[in-house]
Amino acid sequence: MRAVQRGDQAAFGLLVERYMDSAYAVALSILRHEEDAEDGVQASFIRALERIGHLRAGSPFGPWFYRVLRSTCLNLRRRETLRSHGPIPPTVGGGVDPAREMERRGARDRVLGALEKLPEMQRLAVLLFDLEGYDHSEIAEILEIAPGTSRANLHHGRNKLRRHLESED
Amino acid sequence: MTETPNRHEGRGWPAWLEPLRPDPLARLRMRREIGRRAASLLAAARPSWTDVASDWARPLVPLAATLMMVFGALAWAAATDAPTDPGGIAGAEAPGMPWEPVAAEVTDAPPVLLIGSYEPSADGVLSAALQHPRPGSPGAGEGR
Repeated sequence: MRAVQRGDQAAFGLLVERYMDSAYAVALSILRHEEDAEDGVQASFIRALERIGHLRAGSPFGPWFYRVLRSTCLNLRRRETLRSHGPIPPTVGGGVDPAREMERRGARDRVLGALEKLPEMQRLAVLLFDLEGYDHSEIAEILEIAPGTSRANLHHGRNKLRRHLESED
Repeated sequence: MTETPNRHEGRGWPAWLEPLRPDPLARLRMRREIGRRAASLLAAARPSWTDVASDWARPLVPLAATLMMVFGALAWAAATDAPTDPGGIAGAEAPGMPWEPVAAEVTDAPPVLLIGSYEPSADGVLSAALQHPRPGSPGAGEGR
């Protein structure tokens, strides 16, 4: 972290690689649109880099970064510049099998649909627990709630998610 | 600051969340855009040679402060030990006889000891009489 504060590009690149996928999943669950999620992740990393000097010595980067990510995505969602939530455009890229891509998108829509039915705190508690393995004190710190509330959110969120996913099967 | 390890890294990404992973193209776009926007911030955060020098000098500050305190204390101790009253030496009693009565004798009284002990020789008296004869004595006119 000290290397990043001193402008070490390689160290910052390692942080980006470490957190990019999970950050994208969390951003997608908040913004519900792939390109908005990409914007949210990019803006969050830049915002974190701008403010990394505020991170206390010895404090873990992860929970702090997810707090930055969450507030950045919520700000993005409040703005009117978000893209319209039309059908997700197919990814144009070489070597992507259209059938597999359709299948992947179907699975993504199904998971996102189930997550959308959860209240935001429950959704984020489930994601942070399953993606990062954070304990309730860390989740509580990220979401700025009490650890007991985090425990309840995770419990209810998991139950609801299971019901929604099973009902779609 | 520490980086929190992903506690699921050992068993990988949870299967039910696999569809939420970014595809390779999205990952590439994000990586490129973050790198582009972060470059100027990281360049600005890189320390200049003055920052490096001050980083090196910072651990020496307590040592310099300690040395200054030590030398300051030594200087103060030396200043308080040195005589500050100019009459200190003059006023100090000399061993042996006091000098003030002697000084009084020298200024007020004639040098008794020297006068009393002087006895002119006969040759000296004679030569003085020849050089400065008294008026009216024989040979006084010859001397002039």
